[in-house]
Amino acid sequence: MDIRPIPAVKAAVAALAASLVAAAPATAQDVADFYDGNEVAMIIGYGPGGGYDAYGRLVARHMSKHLPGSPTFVPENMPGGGSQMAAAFVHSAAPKDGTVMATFAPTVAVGNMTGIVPFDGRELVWIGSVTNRVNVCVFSTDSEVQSWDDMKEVEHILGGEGAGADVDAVSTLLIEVFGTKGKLVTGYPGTAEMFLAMERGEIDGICGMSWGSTRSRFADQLTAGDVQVLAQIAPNPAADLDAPNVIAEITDPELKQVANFILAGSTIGRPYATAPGTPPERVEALRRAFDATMQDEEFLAEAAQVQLEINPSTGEFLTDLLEELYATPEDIITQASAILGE
Amino acid sequence: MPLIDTVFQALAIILEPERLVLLFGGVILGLMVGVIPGLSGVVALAILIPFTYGLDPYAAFALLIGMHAVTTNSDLIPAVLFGVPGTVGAAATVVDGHQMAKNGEAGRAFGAGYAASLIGGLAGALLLAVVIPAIRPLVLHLGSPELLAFAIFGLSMVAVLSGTAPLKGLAGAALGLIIALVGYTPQSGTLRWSFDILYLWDGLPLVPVTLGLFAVPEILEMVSKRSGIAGNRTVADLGIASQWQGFRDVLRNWRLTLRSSWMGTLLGAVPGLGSASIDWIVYGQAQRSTKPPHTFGHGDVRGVIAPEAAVNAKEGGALVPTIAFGVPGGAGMAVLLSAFLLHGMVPGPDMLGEKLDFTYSIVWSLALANIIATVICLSLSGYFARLSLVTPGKLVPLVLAFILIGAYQGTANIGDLYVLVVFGILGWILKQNGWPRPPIMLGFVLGALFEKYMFISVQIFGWGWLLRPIVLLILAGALWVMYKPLKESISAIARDLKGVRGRGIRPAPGALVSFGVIAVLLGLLWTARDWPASAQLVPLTAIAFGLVVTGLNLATELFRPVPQAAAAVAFGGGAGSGSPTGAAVAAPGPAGGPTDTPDAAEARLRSMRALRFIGWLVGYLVLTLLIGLLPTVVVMTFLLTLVEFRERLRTAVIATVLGGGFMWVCFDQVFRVRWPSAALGDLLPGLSRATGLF
Repeated sequence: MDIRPIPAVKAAVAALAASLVAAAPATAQDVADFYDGNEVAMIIGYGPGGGYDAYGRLVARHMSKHLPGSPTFVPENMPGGGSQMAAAFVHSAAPKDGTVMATFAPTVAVGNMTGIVPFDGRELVWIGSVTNRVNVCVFSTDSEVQSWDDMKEVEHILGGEGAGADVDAVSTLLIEVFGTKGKLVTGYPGTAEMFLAMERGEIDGICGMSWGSTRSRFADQLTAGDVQVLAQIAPNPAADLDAPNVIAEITDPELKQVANFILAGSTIGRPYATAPGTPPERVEALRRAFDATMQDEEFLAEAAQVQLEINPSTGEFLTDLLEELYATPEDIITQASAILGE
Repeated sequence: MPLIDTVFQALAIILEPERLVLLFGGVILGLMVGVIPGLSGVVALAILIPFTYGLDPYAAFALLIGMHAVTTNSDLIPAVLFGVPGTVGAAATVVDGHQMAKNGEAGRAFGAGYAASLIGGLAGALLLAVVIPAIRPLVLHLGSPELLAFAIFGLSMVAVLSGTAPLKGLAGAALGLIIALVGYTPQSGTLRWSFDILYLWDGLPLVPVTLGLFAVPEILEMVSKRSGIAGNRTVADLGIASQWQGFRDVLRNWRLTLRSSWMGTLLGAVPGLGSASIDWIVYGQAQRSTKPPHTFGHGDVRGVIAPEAAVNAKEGGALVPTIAFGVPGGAGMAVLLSAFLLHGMVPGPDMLGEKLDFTYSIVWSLALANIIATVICLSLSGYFARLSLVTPGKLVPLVLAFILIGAYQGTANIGDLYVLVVFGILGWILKQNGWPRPPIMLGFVLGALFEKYMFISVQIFGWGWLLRPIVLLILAGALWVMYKPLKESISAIARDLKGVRGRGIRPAPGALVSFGVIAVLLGLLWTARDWPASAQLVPLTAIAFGLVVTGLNLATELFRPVPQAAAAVAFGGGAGSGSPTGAAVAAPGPAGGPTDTPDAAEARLRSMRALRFIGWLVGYLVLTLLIGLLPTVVVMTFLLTLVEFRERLRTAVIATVLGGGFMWVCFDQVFRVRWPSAALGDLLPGLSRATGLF
């Protein structure tokens, strides 16, 4: 650090460096230089104490070491508008330099098609998703409903969290498209409360639970035989589950498209995005750092410890998926909206 | 005796020096979080958890529980001194606690509050310890109908909290209920009263509403009166002796203390009931069950004891469903739950079997934290109490700054500041005109819970939900609460209405407020016309009810012969006309302030000051939009001290530097708050990025 070049040499070096920078694309070194000593804000679209908060803080803790320059990740809660506030912030207000990442509900990404969200989800730059979900129907073994066929024959009560939640979307899909005899009672604060309601016999079951989180959070009830999985509802079924995948039962291609549209939220899962206009080399660095984090053993161990399911998708996958979803024909969207009662 | 062995083994674990030091550190942090308005134990927990990675679970939870449990020990300090609740659980303490400070009894209020907190905290820990073996079946009995019944029980306290203004109280409860329903409703997916504003989707946040309704009016009163908190008293006994007096008050009211404690624990175990509702429910209970209830709101020490005991006892209760089932009753417990899992403690039968020593170590942490907190508070509060003698010019600008930054912690959105100012002005108008504010608060904190569980219960059980034994028991409790005050209220209302004469219309100036409320209700009714029926049920019922009671109230205001003294209770005119601050609870009747009614000139001066201060508040908002919140706090603290309060330049500089510096360290550096963007940031993006302040 004691080398002090004389002004002329300094100017020449600077000019040379400038010409090199102009000529060559940004290098990994530039990315590292940018992030070195910098901060990356991890914006969480909900308040503390929920799933998004837990995932967001977990990713923030482990992503730094995989990003060149190892910036400090600072988790920040920005609740509002069912996490739309946070998405809108990265979409338009946040600095476009790769110092902001946000996580929010997947419905925000596709909500533009149904007119709920004012901006196009494809305009965001997608970094990745920590987990997608295989939806399952979990029923109390005390319920009269003991199988997928029973669900179509025997009247039963399903728990829900509210319009727009995965649980409600899946339950409504089953009732409206498959004609199951379920009655959706919605408004429970969360899955833990619904499990408790199931244990009390207040409801028969829950459709739209994530298989991964059922397996880890309610392992005791599963092994004790208090609850059982009667069906899975996912475009790609889980390998370690022998419950029937009801999506496979749909033969009408149009109806299948409708179902896939309704399940878009589950396929996207828990997404992370950064601001449009972020320099491509930093986007690339963020995406690869995200992917590496998803493979990080410490990260996975901690996720398993706090019972958070990890089943990641890349930013590229999300980008393609959204292109596909946004190409859904108008009448399919209308049908899906009608089913969801929107 | 294996259980007893486990219990004391757990104590031995916690008493190891390293863990004790962590517990002590947690308590100090928690006390600081509690004393600063807006800072929440939940956020502090989320920040603290990563630091516990390297610790063993006992040590980790000594730190976390120590921090989280005591925020409600210190939150009464700003509540008593400034009328600014340190956490949302101290709002009920403001009513009598702050009045005690005005009566020159800050020290006694502190002593009583600390002692009640201590006993409440210990009772909560004890109850947790006792029910641990039987915990699971207990919680399984709390279904949706029972939760609904608890919400109704809470709402029944409105009858008590309305004090001598039953019609206004009931109208206030309806208003609170309506405010609670703003935003997205999960049952039908309807957006209610959000007016296309994204900020309103998730409903109005608790912290700015609480600070607006309770803290801002107190500040306005201090400003208009221009005297220290303890009036113009020069000698106020603030020493240890007065705190002992508070301690003795608690011992003398041991029944009340214990009853409030166990109620707090019980209600704390009910998912969805947080400290923001428990403090009011238990305050109402105290008022309901003590003999001469009319001193409540005028600085009755029992009004401090009951909520302080209950809110501290709550922690033990809230841990019950968290430990037994992994069902957190609120955000704080949800964060704590993730910490449990992180340290390999899976809630459920294990915690009550194999990991029982860990569970009991939590009980001990809870108990010890409360003891340590009480000792610390007691030894420091002599200094705090002295603040009640400081002139407002040195205090008000700083307290105001804390209120604004505190409100901004609601959701870290500029909307929080608008909500604060709107509810602040509303709270002040209501206070001036004898509208009790606690019923509004109660409706607000219980409204959403009530609607949610009403739908679930009715859909699953039909009317059968009413016949469940625990529901019947709780509803009988609600009837007991309402019976006497309602009987008194009805005769009071009848008396008021009897006074209504067709001739000699002399509208009381306060009638303007009733007109305003009716206009707002009609407006809300109009905007609700297109909602689906299920989304309309509760709000329209609340509006209809509100219209009826406000209409009746208006009738009494319009047609009743007005005693002349009430002229002072005009819109703004009677700022601090001697009526107790507890106008909140015991509204000044038309008889007005009893003794020191100021003459007209003084009243005009005071209302001028109050209106000018509202101008300052609006200036605060405008300047925030221009140069950002923290820079505005610095500028405004300086200007207010120097210009509005005519303090010396030296005082203004010291207040600004100390206050601004502290807030920067606390909120910007430690809590990493994202400040609202401002015009200056658009102008100088480089500076904005470098400082992160606007």
